[in-house]
Amino acid sequence: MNRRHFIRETCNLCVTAIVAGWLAESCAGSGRVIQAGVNGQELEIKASELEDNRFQVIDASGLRYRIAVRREAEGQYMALLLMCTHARNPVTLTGNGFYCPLHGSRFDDQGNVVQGPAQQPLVHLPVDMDPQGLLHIHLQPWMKES
Amino acid sequence: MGRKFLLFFLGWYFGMISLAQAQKPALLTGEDSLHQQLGPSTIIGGYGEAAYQRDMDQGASKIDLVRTVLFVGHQFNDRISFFSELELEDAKVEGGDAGGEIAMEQAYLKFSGKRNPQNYWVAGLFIPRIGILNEDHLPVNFNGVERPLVEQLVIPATWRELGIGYYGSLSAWPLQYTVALVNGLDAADFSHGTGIREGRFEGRNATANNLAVTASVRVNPGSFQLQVSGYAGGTNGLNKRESDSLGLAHGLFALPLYLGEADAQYWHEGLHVKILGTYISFPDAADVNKAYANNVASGMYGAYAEVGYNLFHRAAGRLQKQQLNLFARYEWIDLNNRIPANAIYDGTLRQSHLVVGAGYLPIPNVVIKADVRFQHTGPQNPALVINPNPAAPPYQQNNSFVNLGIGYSF
Repeated sequence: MNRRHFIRETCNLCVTAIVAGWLAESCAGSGRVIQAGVNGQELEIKASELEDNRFQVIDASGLRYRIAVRREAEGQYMALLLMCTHARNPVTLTGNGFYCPLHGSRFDDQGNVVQGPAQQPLVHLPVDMDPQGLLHIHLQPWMKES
Repeated sequence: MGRKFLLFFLGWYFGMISLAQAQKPALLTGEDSLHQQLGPSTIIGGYGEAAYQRDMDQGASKIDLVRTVLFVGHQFNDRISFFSELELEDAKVEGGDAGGEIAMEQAYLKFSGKRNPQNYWVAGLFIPRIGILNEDHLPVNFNGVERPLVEQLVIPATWRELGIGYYGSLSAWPLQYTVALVNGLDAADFSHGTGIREGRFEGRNATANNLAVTASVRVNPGSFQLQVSGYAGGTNGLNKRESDSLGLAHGLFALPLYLGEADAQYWHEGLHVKILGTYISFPDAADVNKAYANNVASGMYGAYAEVGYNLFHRAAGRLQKQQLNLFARYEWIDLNNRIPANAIYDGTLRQSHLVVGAGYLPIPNVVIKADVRFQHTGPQNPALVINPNPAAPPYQQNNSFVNLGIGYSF
C-alpha cells in the first residue's frame, strides 16, 4: 500500500465513521419508544423520561395508536395521537414531523397538515403534570381497543 | 286493553326506529370520524389531476383529465381493515376507441399487529414500496405536472401486483421495512421503449407460475429520509411445455429481473431536496428477444435530483398555510444501457430532462402547477425508423414541453 492509497483509504474510513455515527445518533434520538400503563382514562409517564425538544413515542397496551409527547416549555407538554386523520393509518415519527405511508400525508411537529390528503391536524391530547412529576395524558374512550 | 296495546305498539315502534338508526352503517369523513366512537366505519377519499401540454417542436397541444381516483376504505374492527383505489384514466373508456382505462389501483385487506398497529400484513392488490412516487403518488405530493419520468419509465409507477406483504417498524429506531411476495412480470409483454411497464399484470389474470419478492428499508434520521428498495422476480409464467417450445427457462424465478433503488430526501425550513437512482438488470434479455422479438435491453437505469423551495414558508397571515413551491429537477434515463447481441440500440431511449416550474397550493389538498420540461435524447437509429423523413417529420433530439395542471386529494 503506497502513501497516497493509505491516506485515501483512511479518509474514506473517517468519513464513513462520521456519517454512521451521525446517523446512529440522529436515529437513537428520534425514535426511542417507551412502554406506559393506562390508568382508567389516563396514560401516565414520568416527565423525567422526556428529553428537551424531542418527541417521546409511547406505546401503551390496550391503545389502538401510539402517542408522541414533547416538552414545549417548563411545565408545558404536547401529546399527539399517532393516527392519520385521513384514513386512520398509524403515522410515523420523522425528523421534522410525522408521515403516513398509506397515502402520503405529512404533518409538522405541531401536528398541522403539511401535505395532503389529510385535511385535519393530528389529534392533540390534554396533558397535565402532578407535583410528583408524573404526566397525565387524558385519553378518549374510542382510543382504546374494543 | 286497547290503549295498553297501542302504548306498547308505539313504544316498540319508536324503540325499533332508534335501534335501526343506532345500527345504521356510518359513512364518515376523516373529520367526522374523529368526533365519534371509532367503531366500524367506511371512509371515502380520492384524488385527481388534469393537465395541458404543448409540444414545442411539433406545435401540438393536448389537454386531458389524466386521472380521477376514488378511495374507499372500511375498518371492520381494531385490527382488520380494507383499502381500495379505483382509477379512471383519461376521463372515459369507450369500446373501439384507444386510450382510457378503468383499473383497481389497490384493493387489499390489512391485518394490524396486536402489540403494535404500525406493523401489519397486507393481502390483495397493493403497491409495493419501491422508489418514492410508487407509494406516494398523489398530485399534491410531487412537484411538476408530470410525474418524474424515471418513476414512469424505469420504475413503472403506479406498480401494483397481487400478493402478501409485511410492513414493519422497529421500536428502538426510526426504521421501517417492508417485505412482500407478489406475482411476477410477463416478459412476453415487455415492449421496446417502455422498459418493463407493459409486463405488469396489475391484478388482472396474473400468471402465478412465476413470483417476485420485494423489500425496502427506510430510516428517518433528523430531517432526512433514506431508503433502499429492491425487486427480484421471474418473468416467465408459462408452463414447461410452452416454455420449452419457446426455448425459455421456466419456474418460479425463471428469466429473473432485478431492480435496485436508493433514494434520499431532505427537508429543512421550506427546502425539500430529493435524489433517486435505480437500475434494472435483466440477464436473460437475449432469450426473451429470441422468443418474442421485442428488442428488450438487459440493463436500464434512471436517476434524478430535485430541489424545491416553498416561498411562503416564512409568510405570515393569510399566506402562512399556503405553499408556493418553486422547483428544478434533472433526470437521466437510459432504457438500453446494456443490450444483448440480438437487440438493436435505440439512441432515443438515452434521455435527459430538465424540469423547472412552480406549484401553488392554496390548501394542502389542492394544487395548481406550471412547468417547462427541456428534453434531450440521443440520435435515432435509422434501423428502427419505419417512416423516414419526409413521410414523417425529422426527429429532434432537443425538444421542450410546456405543462399546466391542477390536482386535488382528499
